[in-house]
Amino acid sequence: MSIWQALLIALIGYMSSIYSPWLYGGLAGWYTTGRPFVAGMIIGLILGDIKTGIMMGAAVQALYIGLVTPGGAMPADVNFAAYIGIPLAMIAGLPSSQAVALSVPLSFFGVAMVYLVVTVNSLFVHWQDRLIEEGKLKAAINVPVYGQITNFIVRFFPIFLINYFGAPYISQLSNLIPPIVQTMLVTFGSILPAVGFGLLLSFIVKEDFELLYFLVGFALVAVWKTSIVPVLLIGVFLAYLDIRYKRAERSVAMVTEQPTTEGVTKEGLLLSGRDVRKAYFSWMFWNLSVQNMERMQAPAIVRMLGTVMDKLYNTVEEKKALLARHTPFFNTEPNIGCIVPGVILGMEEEKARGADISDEIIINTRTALMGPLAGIGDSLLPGTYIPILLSIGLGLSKDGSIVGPLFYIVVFLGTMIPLTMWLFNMGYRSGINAVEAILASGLKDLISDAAAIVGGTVVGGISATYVAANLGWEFKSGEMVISLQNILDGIFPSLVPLLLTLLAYYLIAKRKSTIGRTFFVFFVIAVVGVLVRFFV
Amino acid sequence: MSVSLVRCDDRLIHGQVIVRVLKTYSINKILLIDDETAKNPTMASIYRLSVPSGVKLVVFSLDGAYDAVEEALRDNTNTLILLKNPQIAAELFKRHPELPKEFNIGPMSNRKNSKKATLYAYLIENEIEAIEELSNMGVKVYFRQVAEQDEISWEKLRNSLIGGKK
Repeated sequence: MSIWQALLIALIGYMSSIYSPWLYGGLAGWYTTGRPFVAGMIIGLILGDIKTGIMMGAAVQALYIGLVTPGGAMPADVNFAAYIGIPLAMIAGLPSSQAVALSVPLSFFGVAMVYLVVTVNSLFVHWQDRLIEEGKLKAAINVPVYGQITNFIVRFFPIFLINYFGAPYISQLSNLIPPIVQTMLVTFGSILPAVGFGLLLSFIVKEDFELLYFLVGFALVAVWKTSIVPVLLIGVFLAYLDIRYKRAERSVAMVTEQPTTEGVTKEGLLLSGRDVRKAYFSWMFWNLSVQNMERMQAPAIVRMLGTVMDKLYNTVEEKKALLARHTPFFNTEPNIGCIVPGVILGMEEEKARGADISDEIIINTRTALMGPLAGIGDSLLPGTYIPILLSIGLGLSKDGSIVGPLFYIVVFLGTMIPLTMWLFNMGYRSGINAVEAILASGLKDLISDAAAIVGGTVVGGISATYVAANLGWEFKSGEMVISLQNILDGIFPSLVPLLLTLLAYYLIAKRKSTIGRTFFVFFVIAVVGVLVRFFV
Repeated sequence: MSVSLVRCDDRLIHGQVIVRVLKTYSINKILLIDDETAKNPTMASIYRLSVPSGVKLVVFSLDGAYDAVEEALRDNTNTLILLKNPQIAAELFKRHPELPKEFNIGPMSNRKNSKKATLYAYLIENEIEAIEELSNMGVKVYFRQVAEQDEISWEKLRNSLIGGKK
């Protein structure tokens, strides 16, 4: 790997890490170029082999597809898994299943960095307090920018150093590993995606019978060898039938008032459309930039209000008070939850216009809203929408086609950017009533019901594609050799991958097994399976 | 087994609760006991609507919650009791001796004069006193955000938080 390639991978890797602001905050960064699948395409492009990059990215993605990381409770971090695991595996010419095995320890290394950053970043929070106190407001609102330094250090340098200096050794290392251990690693990597899909199923399946959708999707691909597009269409069709069927009982909940945008007179508003947009972009880019365990996203709220403070107040004292009251703890899912900063902006403008709104009401509203929106945001976005879109993308790219990652990028950003703009504006214009009205519309339940069916079907399809097992047992009777693989294929193709995926689902959903423990169970299955020659 | 968990979490409902806690304990019903929320119909409705379909959330004030808690102790839906602070918990465990003697503290945000208990939980003086009271009542108090993490028992933290005062 040339030094330029390593530098470029490290730079993009840093920009794609969870707390990096540069690519539309998390939207185009962590949730797009940060996904191993998209990362694989980018790394492939840099290293001159897009197809292999995408295939490796897809294999690693499959493992981490159901990973939802709420709050500070993070089980694994895909950043190093993608931006170190994939390039090293490509340079060494490893099969993609070994890239998957390599990514597991790297993901735990990544988690350590996350905890390091959120701990160190508390220093920046206290610094921001002091700057506001001293009236150095421009500097105070730039704290999220300065705070990026910790994130830059822990992401850029490890990715660069390990890739650049590790690449020459990794291929030698893989030659040193005895063949049986290599087989175990390949087997481990081939069956591990079952854990990713099992985890994802445990989020989207609400009742056991919904596993039937998963089975339909699996059978379509395993038995009839269809591509993911017909699987998706059948999923959408089934979801449509289900929703139509349920509509009668749902209609009661659906008939609710539209969020009212009237009642807010345009006259005398302090913020122009441009100011509101500025505030929106400030929030979207900088929300996690100095994420810290002490106040979480509070410094980003301060920054957002700081970008428009000159429009709201004239005196330094008033601006200081505005920023100071927003330094306490704030945390929500930043994208769907961007309606909350919108509400805050609207309330602060009302207050600045002279409305009788106490500091306490603003802070209480802010505190009360951030939790529910975090819950909805985490379950709908990283818990449902992103993994389903990725699943479709994976299905489109099973041979390393570039269509899959491009599909994901276009559809994800093409829907999320307008949606977040709309939500932020709704919050700004209609305040807390907008939140209630959007929730009362039943849209959330409609989406999650449809997702259970479409998602279940699609996940079935890609499980059949990405979970693999080579069976070894053969029975000899005279001249005839009957292999277990052939027998099972005669009953149901890919029966073992199906059972492994259902096993992962069972462990996670029913036995409440943690991700780490489930990984371990699959590791044991791989090792023992290879030792008894069940897997080869 | 009908009250599966009594949890205090000053954000009440958020990602960890929706995405993990509800799954871990297979929760069907949430009793949210908080005077402030009970007084605010818009917020109460936002909380009610923010949980996944299939989970029922009911908001009560502390005084209005008695019958609902007693009922939850007897029926066989898996219920999560969600509170903003340990003081309410202390009161609740006094009023309902049949509650399972376990109390989970999730994230508690950093506030003025709060002391750091764990990476994610900061406590103010009144809260520390209430936890000590709970502990003396024989309630097992432990800190944990989600099931993936290890529990940290109150006994482990007690000295560092109370020691400073004496």
